[in-house]
Amino acid sequence: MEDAIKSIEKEYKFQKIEWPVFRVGWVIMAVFLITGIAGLFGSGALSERKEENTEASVEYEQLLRYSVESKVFILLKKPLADSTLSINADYIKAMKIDKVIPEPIAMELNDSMLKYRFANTDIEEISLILKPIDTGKKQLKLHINGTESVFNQYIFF
Amino acid sequence: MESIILRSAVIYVFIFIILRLGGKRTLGEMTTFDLVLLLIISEATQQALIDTDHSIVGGMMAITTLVFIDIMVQLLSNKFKKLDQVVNSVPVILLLDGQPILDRIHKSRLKVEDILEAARKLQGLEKLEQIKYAILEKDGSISIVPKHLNPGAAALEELQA
Repeated sequence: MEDAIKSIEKEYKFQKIEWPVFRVGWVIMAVFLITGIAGLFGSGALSERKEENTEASVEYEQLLRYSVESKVFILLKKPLADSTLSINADYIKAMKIDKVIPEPIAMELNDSMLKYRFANTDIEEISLILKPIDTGKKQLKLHINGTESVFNQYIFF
Repeated sequence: MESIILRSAVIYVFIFIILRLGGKRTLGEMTTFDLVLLLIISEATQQALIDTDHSIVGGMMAITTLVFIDIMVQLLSNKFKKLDQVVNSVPVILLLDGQPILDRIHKSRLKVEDILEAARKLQGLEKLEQIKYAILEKDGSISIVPKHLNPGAAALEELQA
C-alpha cells in the first residue's frame, strides 16, 4: 500500500511541470479573447477600415470570419455618372452579396466585373451586405465613376 | 465588442444562475427528467451561442470564453470565501448521530430514503442509527460518516452492551 502511495509521489514531478503550463495556457486564452474582442478575427476595432479617394469614402472590414455577415458602406462624394457600381467578378466567388442598398434596377455580369445599375445618379450612399463563403486573402475592387479602389480583406476559416 | 464572446459570456452567466437556482440536487443526482432538461437546454444554448457563425474561429472563441470564465470563477472563488459560497453553495449537515434533521432534508428537496441510499452505496450501512453524519456536499452528493469507522470497535461496543 505504502509503495503504491510512494509511486504516486514519484509522478508529482509531472504535476509540477503541468501547473506552469496551465498558467501559460490561461494567458494565451486571455490574449486570444482580448484580441477577439478587439476585432483581430473580425467584427471589431482592429478589423474596421475606412479609406477615401476622390469619388467615395469606403468603410469595410479588413478581417472577416467565414459565414459571418459583413458590410461595405460606400459614401459617395460625387453623383454616379453612369448610375453604376462595379465589383470585380472573382470577389463574388468568395463573397455572397446578400443585399445591396438601395436596391439596383439591374445587374450584369461580364468576364471580369459585376455591374450594379441604379435608378438614378443622385445616390449618396450604397451598402453591400456580404457573407464570406470562402477563406483566405481576398481583394475587393470597386469601380466608381471610372476610378478603381482596391481593398484587401482576409477571411478566417 | 465581438458578439460571439459577449453572447457566450451572457449565456454562461444565465445558465449558471438557472442551474444554481435549481439547487444542489439538480447537479448531484441527475434523474431522467434532469437529463432530458439538460439536453434541451444544451440544444437551445447552441443556437443562441453560435447564431449564424459557422466559422471554426467563432467556435474556438465561444469555447475559450466559456472555459476561461469558468477558470476565472474557480480562481476567484478560491480566493474569496463569500464568492465561493455564492457560486458553489455550502455543505449542509442533514443527519446528526442517527437523527435526521427533517427541516433541512425537506428544504434540500431530499428524502430520508436518499440518505439511506447513500449510506448503503457508500458505506454498506443499513440503518440511520449507524450514521454519525450525513452531509449534503456542495456538488449535490451526500457523504456519509459512519458512527464506527472501525468495524471491530463497533462489534466490541455491541458485546459490551
